Amino acid sequence: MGNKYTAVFLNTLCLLIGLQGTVAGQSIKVAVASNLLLPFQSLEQKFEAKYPYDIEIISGASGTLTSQIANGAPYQVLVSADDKHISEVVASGRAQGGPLVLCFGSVYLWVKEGVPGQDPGELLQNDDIKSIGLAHPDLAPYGKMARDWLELKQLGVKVQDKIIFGNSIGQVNQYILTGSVDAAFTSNSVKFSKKKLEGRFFKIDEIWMDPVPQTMLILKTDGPGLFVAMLLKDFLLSKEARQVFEEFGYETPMAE
Amino acid sequence: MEQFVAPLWLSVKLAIFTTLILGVVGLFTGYMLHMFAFRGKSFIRALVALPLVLPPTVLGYYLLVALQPNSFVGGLIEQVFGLRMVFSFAGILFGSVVFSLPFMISPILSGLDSLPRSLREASFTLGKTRLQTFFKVLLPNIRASLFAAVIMTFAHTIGEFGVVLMIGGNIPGETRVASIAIFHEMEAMNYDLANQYALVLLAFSLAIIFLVQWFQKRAVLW
Repeated sequence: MGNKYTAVFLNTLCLLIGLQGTVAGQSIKVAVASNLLLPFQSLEQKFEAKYPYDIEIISGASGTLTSQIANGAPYQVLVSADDKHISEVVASGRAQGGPLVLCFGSVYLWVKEGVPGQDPGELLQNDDIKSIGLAHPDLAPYGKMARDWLELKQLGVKVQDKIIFGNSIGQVNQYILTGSVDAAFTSNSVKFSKKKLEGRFFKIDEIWMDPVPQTMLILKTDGPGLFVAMLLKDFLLSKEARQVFEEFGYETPMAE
Repeated sequence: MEQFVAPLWLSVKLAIFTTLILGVVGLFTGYMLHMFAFRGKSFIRALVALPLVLPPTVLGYYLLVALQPNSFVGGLIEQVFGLRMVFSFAGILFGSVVFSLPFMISPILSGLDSLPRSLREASFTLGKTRLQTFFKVLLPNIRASLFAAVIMTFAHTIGEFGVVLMIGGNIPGETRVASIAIFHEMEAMNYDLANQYALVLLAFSLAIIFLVQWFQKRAVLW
């Protein structure tokens, strides 16, 4: 009787341990800034259809991902929404080779349906706008750009009480899609995604604003992981990938 | 489908391993604290109950700092066992064990404390050793507490979020458990998937609570 239970128990244990290994195969982990998650999901499918390798996408705010890498996260590629976080990783000696700009993003302001006006600055001061979603400037480059814009427009103090911080662009997009905010600063990905969205988008475009360089970096890896990472790099620079970025409203750099 | 099940399966795997490890730890701690008198006992009791009130982020932060490969402990483990303790299954398993500690040990200890002293003394008088008394006399009398301890540890591990996110991140097949999958699918704007995960976890939690209540009612009759 006791033996039977022991046998069942050991069998289960073996099964559990055995399954641990099955995930392996040849795959790499790609840490992607939240704003790029949508285009990268489509790129992942295209890449995996083309090559016999898997890529696994982990998304988060550029700052969060960078801090995870500093703490030993096993990513092979990092795609950040700016070059500042990338240079931190390069400086800490965790990079393999240099950074590479994939495309440029822009900041968009989303405003809910039914608020009149065309000027983003005036819209935000409208009494109908009670909350404004903003990705945290310390973690998310888009949030930083948006905050700089608010400050230069001298709106910072006026709308300060309305601002709701999200951890990443992904979280701000949740606020938009669930209608929990009246306006929000976000990236081009949402505007160009196929999600049905009510409300209007305004491109935040000023002469002093540089487009946000979406930068990739291969991290120190050895063996087959590096090979797949290089393949992915070439793929991300290909025409096919540039088309995907453009579909989502990113501007791609001049052809090589 | 396989992609949908993977985080759920990972949650279950994490919960099973956590419960197994904590079962051994819980019985050992219960035995030591109940059968022996020594200094610092109340300190150990406090330490065991600590994760109950400690914010998960505090625990996650300390574990991340202590276990990252550049730290002393993390570096040692990586060199000796070749095991990376952050952003890996081993890491979230360790975090879960620490975080669920009180859910296993508290019911066992309170079960033991509620038993009359005479039970233990009668067993000693009849010439049984401490170990025999513990396993053959005391434990069978706290079956209901043991059951509650196992179920609550399992359920609590399934519902864990903060600690896992901090030391494990969000790596598919490795640390993306069901509760993190909800967070991830929300961020990816896949509300259908987030919905499904949430529903599964809700149903699971309800079932667990029913199970515990049903069992406790029955346990009175034993």
